[in-house]
Amino acid sequence: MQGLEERQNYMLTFLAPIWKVHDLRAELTSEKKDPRGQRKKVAMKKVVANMTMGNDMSQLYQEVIACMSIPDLEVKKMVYLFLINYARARAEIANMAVNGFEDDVNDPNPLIRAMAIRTMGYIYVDRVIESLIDPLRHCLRDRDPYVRKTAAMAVLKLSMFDRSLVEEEKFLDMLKDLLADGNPSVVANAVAALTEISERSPHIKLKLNMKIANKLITALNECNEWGQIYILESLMYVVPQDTSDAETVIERIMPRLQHGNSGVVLVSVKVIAYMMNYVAQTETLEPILRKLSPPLVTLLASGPEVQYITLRNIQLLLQRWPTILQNQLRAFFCKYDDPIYVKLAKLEVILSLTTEENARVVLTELVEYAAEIDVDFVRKAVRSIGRIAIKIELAADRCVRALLDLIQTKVNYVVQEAIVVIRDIFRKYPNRYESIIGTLCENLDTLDEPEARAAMIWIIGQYADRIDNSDRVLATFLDTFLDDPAEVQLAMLTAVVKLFIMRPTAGQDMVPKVLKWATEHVDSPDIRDRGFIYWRLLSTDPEMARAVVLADKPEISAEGERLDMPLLEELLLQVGTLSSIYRKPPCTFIPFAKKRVLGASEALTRLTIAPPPVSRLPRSTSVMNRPSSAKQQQQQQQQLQRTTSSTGDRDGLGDPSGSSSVQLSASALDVTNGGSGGMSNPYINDTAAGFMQGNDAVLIDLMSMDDDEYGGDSSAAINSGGMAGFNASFGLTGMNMASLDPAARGAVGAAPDSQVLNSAFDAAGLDALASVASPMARLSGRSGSPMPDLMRQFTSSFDLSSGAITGSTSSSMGAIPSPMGNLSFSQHQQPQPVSGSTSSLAGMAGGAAPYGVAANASSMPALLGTTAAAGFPSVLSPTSTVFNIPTSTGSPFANSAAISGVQGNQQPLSAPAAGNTALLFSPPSNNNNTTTAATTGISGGTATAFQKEVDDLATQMYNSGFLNTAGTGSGSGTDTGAYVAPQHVLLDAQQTQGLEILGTFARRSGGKIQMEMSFANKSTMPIGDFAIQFNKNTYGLTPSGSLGVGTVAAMRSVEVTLPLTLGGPAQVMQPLTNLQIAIKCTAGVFYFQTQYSLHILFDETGNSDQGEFLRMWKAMGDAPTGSRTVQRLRFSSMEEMRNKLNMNNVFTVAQRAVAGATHFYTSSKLVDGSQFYSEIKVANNFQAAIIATKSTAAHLVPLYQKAIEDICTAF
Amino acid sequence: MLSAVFIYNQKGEVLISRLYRHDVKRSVADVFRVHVISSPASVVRSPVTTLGSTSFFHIRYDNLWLCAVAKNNASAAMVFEFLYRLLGLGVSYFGRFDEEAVKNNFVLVYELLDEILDFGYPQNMEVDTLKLYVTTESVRSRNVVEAPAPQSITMQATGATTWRRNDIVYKKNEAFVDVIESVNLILSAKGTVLRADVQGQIVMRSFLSGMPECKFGLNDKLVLDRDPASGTIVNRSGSMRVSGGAPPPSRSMGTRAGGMGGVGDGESVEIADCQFHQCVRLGRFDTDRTISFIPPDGEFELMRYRTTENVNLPFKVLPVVRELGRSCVEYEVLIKSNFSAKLSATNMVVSIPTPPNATKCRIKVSGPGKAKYNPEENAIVWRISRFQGLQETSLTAVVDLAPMTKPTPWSRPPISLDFQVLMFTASGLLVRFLKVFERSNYQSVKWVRYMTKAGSYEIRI
Repeated sequence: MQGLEERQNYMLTFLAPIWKVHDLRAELTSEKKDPRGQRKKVAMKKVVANMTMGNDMSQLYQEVIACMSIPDLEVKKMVYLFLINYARARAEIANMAVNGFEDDVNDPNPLIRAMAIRTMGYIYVDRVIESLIDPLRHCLRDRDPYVRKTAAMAVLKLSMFDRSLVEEEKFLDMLKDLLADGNPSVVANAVAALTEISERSPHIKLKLNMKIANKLITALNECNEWGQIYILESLMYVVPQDTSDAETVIERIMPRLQHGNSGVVLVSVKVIAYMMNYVAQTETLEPILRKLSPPLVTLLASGPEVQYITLRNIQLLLQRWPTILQNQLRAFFCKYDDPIYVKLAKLEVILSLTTEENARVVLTELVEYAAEIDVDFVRKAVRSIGRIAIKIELAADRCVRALLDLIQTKVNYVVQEAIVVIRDIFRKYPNRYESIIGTLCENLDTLDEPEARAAMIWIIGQYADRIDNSDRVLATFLDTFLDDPAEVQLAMLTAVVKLFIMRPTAGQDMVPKVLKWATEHVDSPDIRDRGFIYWRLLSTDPEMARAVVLADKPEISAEGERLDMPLLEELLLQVGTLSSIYRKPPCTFIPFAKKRVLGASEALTRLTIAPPPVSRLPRSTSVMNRPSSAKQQQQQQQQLQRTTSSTGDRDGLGDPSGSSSVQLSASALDVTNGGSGGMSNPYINDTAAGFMQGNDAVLIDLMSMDDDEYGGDSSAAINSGGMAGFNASFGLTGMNMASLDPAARGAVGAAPDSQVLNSAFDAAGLDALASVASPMARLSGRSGSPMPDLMRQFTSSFDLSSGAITGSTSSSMGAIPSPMGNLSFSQHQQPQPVSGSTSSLAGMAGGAAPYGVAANASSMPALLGTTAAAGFPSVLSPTSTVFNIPTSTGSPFANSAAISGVQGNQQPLSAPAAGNTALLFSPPSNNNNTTTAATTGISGGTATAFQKEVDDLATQMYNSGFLNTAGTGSGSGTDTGAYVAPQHVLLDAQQTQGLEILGTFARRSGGKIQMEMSFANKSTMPIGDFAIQFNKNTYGLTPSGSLGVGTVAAMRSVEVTLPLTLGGPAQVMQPLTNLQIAIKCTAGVFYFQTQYSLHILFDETGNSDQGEFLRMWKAMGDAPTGSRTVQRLRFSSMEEMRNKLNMNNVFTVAQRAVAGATHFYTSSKLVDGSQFYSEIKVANNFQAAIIATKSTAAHLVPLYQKAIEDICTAF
Repeated sequence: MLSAVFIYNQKGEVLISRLYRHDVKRSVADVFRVHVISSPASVVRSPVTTLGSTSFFHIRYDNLWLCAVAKNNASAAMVFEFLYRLLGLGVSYFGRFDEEAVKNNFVLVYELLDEILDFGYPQNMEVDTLKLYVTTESVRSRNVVEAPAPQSITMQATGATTWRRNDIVYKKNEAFVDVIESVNLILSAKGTVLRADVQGQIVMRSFLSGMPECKFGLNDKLVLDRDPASGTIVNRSGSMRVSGGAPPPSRSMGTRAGGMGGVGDGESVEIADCQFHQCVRLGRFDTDRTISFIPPDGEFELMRYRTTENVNLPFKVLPVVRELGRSCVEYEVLIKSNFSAKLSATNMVVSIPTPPNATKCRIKVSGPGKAKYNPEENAIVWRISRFQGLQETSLTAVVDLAPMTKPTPWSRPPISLDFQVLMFTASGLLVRFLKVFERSNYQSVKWVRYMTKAGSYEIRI
């Protein structure tokens, strides 16, 4: 607050001398000659000056209002300013002024009319507002546009005062009429007013149709820059009903990106980014994205404030459309004199744009930044170096060297920051950089920040056996243990235990001391609990302790600041606003803000474009997991297996997320993302879609899943689905896991090492189990489909549980979020990604649920085994309550899918004991480590049987997989064997102004599905600019490349092959193989539909051996079978027929000759996992055959048989 | 939208306070002062400060803080554009926009604020139009016009060409085009170009009567590629006048033919991106890259552009900086000019940073320019008033360092250059034509001038 003296000085400099209120009053009322009001004008200026300084001038109101009659615009403006300032607080002032206003609103001068209306709107006093209403109505129809545009704003002012008044007086309709006004400024203000009224009103919702939108866009050209902003903003209320709407809007506002006003540019970017969600084709999207980049870079030449806003928004856009700003990296290099906020924001963008190719340049640049002065900037630069190491494996060596160099500078905060990131690098690349530990240890004394200390302690603990004097080094931290922050204490506790486990003699003095402190002297419950766990672990079973404490850690991610999809999507609807800068939805800091969502429409596609393959790097991030090579796949799979059992395996070492249960559930979420991100197969995507449909909260449509490349996004989408609907179940799962915490956490973490499973399977066996589990889970999940016996054996409760889960609501999906979902990753081992749902999306939801459940099999028994073995009755008791839910029919599965998962898997263990409601802690008793069988009602024999069963299965699957590979090999040798239906007319030249398209579908070697077409131009004009688009279809078939047709000259035709892929947007069609296709070309847009033969979906891995066939056949004994009679086969020998079928992925399992006929037994599998087993009886003269089929997808049998018929009868 | 606008002086005293909405009180002005202006952190960490649900956007200019307040999820870019524009208005109205000017003209500032923002929504902010009806005695309008009828003002303020009055008359119709390029460079210590681009500005001063329809052409690669024939039109002879008139003096359009050595003569330039003044018809540009517009009267920035390809760096700098132990740093800096010998750079300043603990500098310059150590800036400042093309100059210096109790490494800030080179464009951009069409069909004379200056020209050491 300014002191009186200061204020007086201030006034002196402002306008000397000081005026007292009474002096001013005297001047305002002076009777001296003042014909043009000049004296009063001077007096008014003094009043305004005083007002500005916060001095109360309201006592002068009578005198001031009297001045309203002075015919001087300037005086009038000052009086109005006075009124705006004081009238709202003092109604009597306003009331006095009403007469003056009434005169002014009828003034012949439009400037005065407008000013009166404008000022009255500012004064929220009943009388003024009342007397505003009539004139306002006139002014909205004033012949002067300046008055109209001011009146439009006045309506907004009025609505803020009294919303109902505006509606009662029909002002809204008048505003709407103004949208068609001939004057652009009027239109702009009317739009602005309507937009804000709708923003603030709970029940008015602005919706613009394309007709209005087009009119507004036309008005854009004539508007001033601000008006353009208001109009563009209003386009956010247009929901495109089809793709062409969106494309039109984008095309028409694209020129605005060249505007000199950054506000116009960014709001245009916002509208374009919004509309891009409704664009159906990547071919359309790419040029748009290309056009977006240059204007964004240009904005970096604006003032630093605008640069900052641009940079923050670029971050968002980049995350959604990673291809934007490719090769623009250097534009983001920091200038020395950039303001710090710009530098920090640039750093983030640089990190996002870093790829394998430019990592070296970026690193050099970051090292440069690390030498600058601003501490925050330097820290962030150092941290970024570490993040690049984690993001880009190839650059890791260089990053580590750079960090070591930075440590040598001895600049304290640089050293500390470097050590923190090096900890993460150690986490990411275990056992690779231990050689640098020596250098790190030289800086022990300088570490005073908790995070750096904790990081250093973690490193020492982790490598306690490699560092010669690790005990002494740790001991130096011991002195301050009780004074250290919890973060450091936790790290210390774990590090000391690690030391003890690795080098018992070195650690034996320290461990009791630290454990005693942790359990008796520390207040933090996390530390105390962890202390107790370690204590008990160590005192009960040192081997177990080793397994628990030294368990492998899950991968960490470099992209710490990635937003999850729903948030990102919401923020992208706010480009350029505060919300986009803070990365928070507006409702978090604006009380009245409405949430924006992408308007639902048929056209909503949410397409995205993945970066080109060159920059597709082995990202280790949780979200971006995408297997691009077999080796990587393997790695990831292993990693995921670790994560499978890693809910608790955060190991807590310097990792804050391990420290509390709430965060633990969050971390479980992370893990889930990792898993689903890795899956990146349409199966899961569909699951999400199905789930979302059921949920109905936010419609997530995953059109972008063309192939594996889109994995990252698919996970994001899942994530988004998860966000909307999973929350409840997450809470549950999270809590359940938390209640296991912390003992169970450790135990879970130990699973892979605890050899519970390992004793039964080696690593390969585990893989195989996973792959067994997934297809079976899929099978069992298909609602209403028959259940193979085999699976019944494996999980006899599946039909129960999956049914229940399918029926239950979102909580069933909890099984997928549970880390066990990761196991399904092993699906990548199969040459073909499994795709699409068959029956319904809801069915898929069900299909997915047991997926997780099945996967539980591997970790849950392990968990139980280890916990039991560890022998913590006290810890176990809460655990047991979790698991101890009765599993009789109709059991309450709904509350936690994780639980049902456990039960589902436990049940086979106790299968003989029918109503097993008792404790289910049944470690397989041949476990080496399990010294005591714990409390279990299940005999060891059962467990062994179970394991043997699984073991067999694993082997079988392995074998069959092997066989299949071989089968594929032989099949792919001769491409000619693949059946291709003859081309038929898709488009008739008569209806299409001369364009005729013939086409068919084929599955070529290696499982390449393609559409083979011939385009004939029967008109006299060339036809060009072809584009093709598929509507959603049952299996998500969608073009994976562009339609390589150039211009077709008149009377010519062109043959073309369009590669297809599965995993596009799916929707069940009738018939199931129906495809709706649109072709765009210069002759127009044409729609047609066609059906493909189901055989193009037959997977190369559909082979099975006799045993399996028999089992399945038997298992489906009562399943509906279909039979079909086929006449006039085109074969001359059984050999030929068998080959032909084989080449089309209908594999012959067995063949036997009977009198006058031969019986084939075939198996095939659809890309979505549906299996078909057929018996084909062929008359020896090939005149007729009878096909009888059993399938896990009975509804597909007719189509399947039709396909076989086609294959057998085609030439 | 905006709820209030405040203008503070350096100390944080409120000079102007205008509230537009009832969701804020005047006392929020104090909140901003306390949290931002008087905040202990010497560097402002963000141009936007949100406290609770109130957001403050600020820019600084001279000794003023301009601050806009919003209570909603305002479009931040728009708010800053508004503030920049407010600044421009102030400069245009008062010559200088500083504490003094605001205090002397505060009533006018209020009038402006009342006019340019309605309920927090920016309205017309075109100086020319505003000057028609927001005036005081203290403002001397360049074109003194009789007070026009209010109706014509309102039409002007809301019409399609808010930036131009329709009653302008000049005896002599002239247009001046200035092409001003700023070269931005970041050169690594090893001499590799990390980033080089040109930010160009085309500033036009138009003194044309009536409502002239202008067309403007550059040697834009996209245009020339599309229509190769037009490439031959590049006017090399002298005048670019559309319709006769007196022969232009020395610097009229086209004289670059001799002077613009080193710039790609007749070559086309690849413009990465450009932005236009709101008078330019963006739709036209989007369809056929024609720049057509009705110009505002007087000076305005017609367009901004950016090129990143084939940047002609006017200067090469080869620095060698050696830290000899902790007591001494040695410098050898060689600068070569890389443009035609007929041209020369003026007002060149090379700033060579020295460590903060420098005590004494021994500097030797061989070639043009004088250098001296400036302890306040921690730099050797080397001034070269005139630097011919294709010339070189070098500096050697030895800087002694005071011993420090706690040795901290020196961050080695980059060497920076400041300069101006007339009749040179680093991008190679040339103006091909400026055509003026007006109903009365008068003749107009057009002039063009090129200048390249240093943007952020940094050479890391």
